[in-house]
Amino acid sequence: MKAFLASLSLALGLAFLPAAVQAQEPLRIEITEGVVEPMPYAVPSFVAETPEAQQYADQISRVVADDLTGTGLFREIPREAHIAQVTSFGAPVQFADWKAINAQALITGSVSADGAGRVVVKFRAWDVFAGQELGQGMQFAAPAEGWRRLAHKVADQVYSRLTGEDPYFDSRVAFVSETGPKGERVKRLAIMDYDGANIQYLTDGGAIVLAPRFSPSGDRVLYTSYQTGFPRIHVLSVGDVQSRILQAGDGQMSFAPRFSPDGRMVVYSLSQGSNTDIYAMDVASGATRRLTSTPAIETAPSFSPDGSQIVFESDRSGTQQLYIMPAMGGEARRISFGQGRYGTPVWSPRGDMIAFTKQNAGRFHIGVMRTDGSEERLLTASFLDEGPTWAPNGRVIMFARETQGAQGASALYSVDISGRNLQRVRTPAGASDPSWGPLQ
Amino acid sequence: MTRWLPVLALGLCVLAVDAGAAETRPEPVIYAAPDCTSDSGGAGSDYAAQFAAAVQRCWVLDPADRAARVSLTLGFALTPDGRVKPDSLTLRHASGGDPGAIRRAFGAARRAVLRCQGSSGYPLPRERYAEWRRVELCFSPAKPAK
Repeated sequence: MKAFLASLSLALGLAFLPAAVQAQEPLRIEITEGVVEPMPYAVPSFVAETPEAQQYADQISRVVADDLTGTGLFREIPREAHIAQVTSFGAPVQFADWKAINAQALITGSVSADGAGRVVVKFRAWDVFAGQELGQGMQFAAPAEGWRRLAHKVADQVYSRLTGEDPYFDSRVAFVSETGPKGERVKRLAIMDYDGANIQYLTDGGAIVLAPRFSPSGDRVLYTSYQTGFPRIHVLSVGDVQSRILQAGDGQMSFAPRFSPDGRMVVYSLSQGSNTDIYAMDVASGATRRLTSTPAIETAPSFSPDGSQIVFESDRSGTQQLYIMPAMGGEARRISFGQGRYGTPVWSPRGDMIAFTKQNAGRFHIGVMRTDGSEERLLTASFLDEGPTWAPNGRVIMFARETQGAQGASALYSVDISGRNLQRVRTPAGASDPSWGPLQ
Repeated sequence: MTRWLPVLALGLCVLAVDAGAAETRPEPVIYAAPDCTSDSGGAGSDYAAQFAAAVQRCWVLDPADRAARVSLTLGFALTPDGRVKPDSLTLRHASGGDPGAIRRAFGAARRAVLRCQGSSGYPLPRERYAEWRRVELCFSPAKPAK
């Protein structure tokens, strides 16, 4: 209504303006096409405010730049090209110097260490062409061994201010580390920072482990282990690295577990004889409930973010397809109808999309579709891509890619949901089955 | 005032840095103005297309961002040598997004206009300054971005 009244006022006002003034109407031009390119930005090395901080200042600013550039949305302007030198955190920003090298955003920072093993980092972000600060300056403090987290925190703040998206850099990924030849792989459960740093091994490789899944709060990991000879679901406490088997009957195979959004329930597949159905278990009480009951193979359940629905894969139609059913079980509706087979569906944290693995014409793809099955887009293609997992902000997908042949190995990759910016995640050995945890 | 928020895993803490007298970024003010109608067929058609092409090269879209679906009209004034008067940049109209998306779309449009003027301003015919001294640029991401 306000807009309408304002328009009406404008129209009435214009009607009574003298002709000379009306002649000074602004030139109106319409632009309908932009360009898709990374935004150029600059991160001068952070200023070391104490001698002890020198070793961290450059490392932290380096990780901040790696985080931002790694998104594919930003392009770092090399430091050799910088005209202005930032020698004091509080000094006025020389916007003209940054404009001259076409930096659209500037991140300045400083690092200090208090001698008691504590590092403090301050930063400010600037919109160079507007000559304004982007948001408020902030500082973070942590024990020195946590300096990478400090850098991720700074990058998260900058990323959110520049894109408006929720951040994801200060997060971890659970995965299966793979070493040894293809026929004798040693598989260990591991956790790392989202960028492959700080790997921590959680199992010793004595038993095959599969499909780790972070809890929503990041304190536990579900996984499937062959420790007893049968596949059984384990739950591991990340803090003390203690695990226990979730209840299952003798002779039953349980696998493909995933937490509910509140962390209280686990949905999983249970095989009895030749039939596989989906069950839900209350983690605290061990009480179980059967959610599907068909002669088909139903597996890979994943909750919607509000916990009301579950997407899963089933071959009930004769081919492997994706279905959605109420979280308590009930009638399922098919959402995938394209050619080929669909599997490993995962609901986006934003709730609007589902990522999946698709096999068609001898190729594997990671794709996304709306929750009603519309707008299917394939983001990757290779000999074997599988097991998508969403970044906490729903903007990036990580998955495993295996290369062909006897020497073939598995590695982790990430891709933006636009299909751009495919990147390999640096891990020291083979890696598969990624599960992206929450923002810390 | 400082505010500490403990993060348990590493004893990580955060507080706001005193920004001193630093400028705070104002929220874009949205005026009710009609959608932009291009003058490409009017008096300014000979140079308006070149002007549009120049700005377009600097209009960066992120196709996965909701801001890429916002249509907006940016109003500004130019000096006789084709430079943008920075304080004159205003958001005249916006539609197709939530406030966050509109804010990002406004930032991208503003950067496009300011960046692409370069150091010498836009090449516009000085003798027709009266026609282009005030401009309304309508950014309509209707077509797929290149």
